[in-house]
Amino acid sequence: MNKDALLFFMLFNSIDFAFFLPVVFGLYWFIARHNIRLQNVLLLLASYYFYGSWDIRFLALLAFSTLLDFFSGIQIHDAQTLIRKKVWLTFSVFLNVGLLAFFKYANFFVASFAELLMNIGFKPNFTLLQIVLPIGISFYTFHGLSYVFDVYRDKIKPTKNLIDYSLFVSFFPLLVAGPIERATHLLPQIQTIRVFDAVKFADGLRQILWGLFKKVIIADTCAQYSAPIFNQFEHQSGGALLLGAILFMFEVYGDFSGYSDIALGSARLFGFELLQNFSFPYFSRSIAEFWSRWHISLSSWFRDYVYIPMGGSRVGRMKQLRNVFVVFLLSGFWHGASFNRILWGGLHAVFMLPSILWASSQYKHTDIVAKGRSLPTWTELLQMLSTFLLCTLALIVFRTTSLGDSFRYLKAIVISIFDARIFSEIFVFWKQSMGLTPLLLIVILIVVEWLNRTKKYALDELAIRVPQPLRWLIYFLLLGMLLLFAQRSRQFIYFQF
Amino acid sequence: MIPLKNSLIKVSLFAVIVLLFSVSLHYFLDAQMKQLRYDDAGVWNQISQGGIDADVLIMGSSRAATHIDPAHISETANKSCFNLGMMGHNFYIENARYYYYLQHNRAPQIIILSLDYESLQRRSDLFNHTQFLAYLNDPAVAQATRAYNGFSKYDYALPLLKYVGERTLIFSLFNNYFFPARNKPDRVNGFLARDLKWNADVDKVLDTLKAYSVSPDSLSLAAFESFLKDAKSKNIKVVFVHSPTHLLGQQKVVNRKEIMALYQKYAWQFSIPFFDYATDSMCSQKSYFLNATHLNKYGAALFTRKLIVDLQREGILPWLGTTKE
Repeated sequence: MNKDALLFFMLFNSIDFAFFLPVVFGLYWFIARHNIRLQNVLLLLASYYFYGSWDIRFLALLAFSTLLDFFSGIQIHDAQTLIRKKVWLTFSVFLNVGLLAFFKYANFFVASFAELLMNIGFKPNFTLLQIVLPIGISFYTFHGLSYVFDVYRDKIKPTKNLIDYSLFVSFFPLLVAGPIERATHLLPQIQTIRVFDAVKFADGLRQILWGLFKKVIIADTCAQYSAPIFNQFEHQSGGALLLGAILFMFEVYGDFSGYSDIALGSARLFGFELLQNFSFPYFSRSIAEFWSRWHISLSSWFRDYVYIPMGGSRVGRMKQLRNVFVVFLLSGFWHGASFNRILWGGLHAVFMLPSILWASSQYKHTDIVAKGRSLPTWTELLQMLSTFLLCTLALIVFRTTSLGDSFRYLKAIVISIFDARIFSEIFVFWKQSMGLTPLLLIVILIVVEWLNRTKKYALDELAIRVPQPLRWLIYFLLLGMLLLFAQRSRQFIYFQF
Repeated sequence: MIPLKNSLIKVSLFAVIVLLFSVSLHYFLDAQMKQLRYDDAGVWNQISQGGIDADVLIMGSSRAATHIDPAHISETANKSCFNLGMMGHNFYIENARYYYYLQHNRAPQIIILSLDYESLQRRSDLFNHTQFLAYLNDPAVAQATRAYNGFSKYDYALPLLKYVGERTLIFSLFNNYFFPARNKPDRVNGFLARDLKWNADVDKVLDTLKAYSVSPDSLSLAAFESFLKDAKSKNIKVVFVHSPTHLLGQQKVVNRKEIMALYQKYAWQFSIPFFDYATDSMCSQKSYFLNATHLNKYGAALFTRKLIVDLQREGILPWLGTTKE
């Protein structure tokens, strides 16, 4: 990812977006409110403008990907024989995955192959390609794939309206970092005229505000401290490294769930309900529960299009294990072309083993933790903490740049733990380099999210629960915090996927 | 169902309150910034208030601000003197400060221009950007700061935006408002004396610092030439000074001879006296320095005395008691 290029991209937390969104909103509800065709054309144009603000050349790639799946969908549906259906499906999948492989993974494969040859004594002379990763390619490719799969399985009839389909793929709130939508969920909404709903409108604004809080205040503040720790981890104590990893946990959560909140809130302003992408994942009592609450749209995509077609859990224990590993390794690879990301996926698969091997109810948490109570039980607390720590451990592998670095990072933590100096090192680092601010912000986040864990997001239904003056006071407080904590030029982590 | 109009009225009302608050806070913070008496912001404020009208002006980076004491020059040569040196910056923005100075003060008779190896290599970031906050509406400051990665186009146009994220500054401005006694000046006539000694950390930093080359950029070169022509046309005497850099620091700049030759070329072209202290005996003694490029309080006092004598010897500054204006 070219970071300089990102400076010109209309980020959700940028002033450009703060102008763009109301302008599109105004045109949409004042000019196009009675005409569904106009509504969709306007949103499509806005989406292409939004994407083109990063790099106009890649609009062609987006258009190609859209046309590919649009026509493939029609051909799959119209094919008279199963073989023809399969041919068209294969054609679409091959091209989609091919594009993704070229833009995202080509250099990884070339470099890995060169390394392999070197290890067996050859001296390869490969040149890495100068490839710019198009923003959002992983997301819109998965949109398209889900569409052709659903058409192939007769879950949905293909649309013959290119505008509608294009909007499904490129709707600007979800274009660059999801949620990864399903045609069965979003297309019907696109095909129905949207009527202004004041409750949805207010709710959308609230979710945007909460998303900004998580991104601008929580994630960016944590990044200020975690980035130097990871970048110079060789010079840090084990305690500082553990702290850095925990801060990165909150950074990545604030960043991505904040982005998702802004995406969902923005879409709601135009009358759309997107798929919920996060549901308080750090209150999970097992890794299985964590994955039902974290990046839900991606997890469910892999479940529906990889895990279940491979037999899911309806096969023997060994095959089920294989399926879980395949899904998590693929998910890791989707997050980035590196062995670290693959190992990160693999670790999560390993952490899932207890819930597969001992399919007892203690690993299957489908309810909300401590529902009907203000505080969790000690068992629940321990379960949540251990899940959090396992995720932290895996995230160290995710965040470091090589497997050697991951090992050294983890080793330093382990040594500090065995030497019983981890807590003193955490305390010393905290006192010398951080102060109370990040701790306070994280505590605010945890408390607010805990109190609202039965809702879709922390400020959900605020209009029902809190009188208007107090509500406005909350909004002003959040805006005041944005004034104090916002930083310049902070990009979103998930844009690089 | 609540119609669109009602929702928009509510949102507009909320936005108006936010806007009013933002504008008020913006003006309050700007006013407090203009009251600051310390840091580079304090120098900007002194300049904008006018009345400095110095006969001798010192220009340059932090090395100018901490090496040349205007008080010594005033006492010795009976000429008013002010130091415009800017911490962490290069000529391009120092030049903007000079022109801002001219808007509010009389032009000087003499400019002592302190040249470092990096003077004509513009840095990309806007170091200590908060010093410019109160003056972003000034065309000269706006034009100069736009050449850096610092402010966005919206910072110049929208209220309060330039203060977003500056929580330490905002708290200190409120602090100064409620406790004005804490707003103490740290410089005298722009000069900052630093009572620090060279310590083991400096050696460590030097050990890890790799040797580097300096590349003057076209914007800086153009501004430099334009400045020299303008000074000549206004009959302002410009003097180049390369103040002491410790030998260990000099060695880090691979092409330092090339850079000094460039300054020499300009000196010949514009008939400017050039005082180069790169080989001065001070450059080998750590006791005069706080790091490889900056003199401490004692080094600065000694250097200023040396400079004054050299300037007097060349007839640029009068001998005390013999020349009076």
